[in-house]
Amino acid sequence: MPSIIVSLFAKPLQGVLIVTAIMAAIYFVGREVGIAKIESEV
Amino acid sequence: MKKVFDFTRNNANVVWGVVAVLIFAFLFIMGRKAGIAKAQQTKKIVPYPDGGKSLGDWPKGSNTAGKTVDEIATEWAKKVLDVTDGVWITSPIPQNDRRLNVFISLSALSNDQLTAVYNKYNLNHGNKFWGFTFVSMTEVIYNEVLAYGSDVQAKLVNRLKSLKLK
Repeated sequence: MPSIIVSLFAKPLQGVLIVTAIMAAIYFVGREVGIAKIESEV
Repeated sequence: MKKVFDFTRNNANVVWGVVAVLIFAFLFIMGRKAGIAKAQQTKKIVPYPDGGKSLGDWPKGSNTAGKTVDEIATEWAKKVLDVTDGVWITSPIPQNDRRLNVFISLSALSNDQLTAVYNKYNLNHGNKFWGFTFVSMTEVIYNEVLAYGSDVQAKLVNRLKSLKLK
C-alpha cells in the first residue's frame, strides 16, 4: 500500500478509533448500570 | 439570532462540548435501556423458601385496581390454569384434605414455568407477585380447580398417580 494512503488515513483513523472507543465505553457502562438496576431488584 | 451565531463562532469548543455531552448522555441512556432489557430477559425468579409469607401483603397504594387480594388471586389463578392447561406438578398431598385430596401448589412449578407465566401475563409486581402467589394463590387455584369439574379433577388425579407421589 502506497505510503501516501497510509499517511492519509493514519491520523484521522486514530481519532475515529478513540472517539468510537469512548462512545462504546459509555454505552456499555450504561448497559451494566441497567443490568445492575434490575438485579438489585431481585 | 446574530448573538447566537456570534457566541457559537467565539466559543466553538463550548458548543462542541455540549454536543458531545448530549451524545454521550444519549449513549448512556440507550445502554442502560439495553441493559435493563437484557437483565429482564435473563432474570431468574427464585421462589421464596417460606412461601413468601415473610413478604406480607400488598403495600398500601400498590393495588391500583382497587380489587381485593382474593379477586386478584382469582384472576391470576384462572390465567395460570389457562397456561398450564390443567397439567400440574403437585406436591405435597395433605393426608386430611376433604375436597380433592390434592394440594395444588405453584411452588411445585419449575422456575421456567413460573417465568413463563410471569412473562406471558406481564405480572410486573416485583417480589410481591411471588409472595402473593405462594400465600394466597394456591388456595384460590385449589378452589378454581374444584370449580372446573370432574374431568379436570380426574386429569389431576391421573397426573398425580403417574408421578407416584406419596
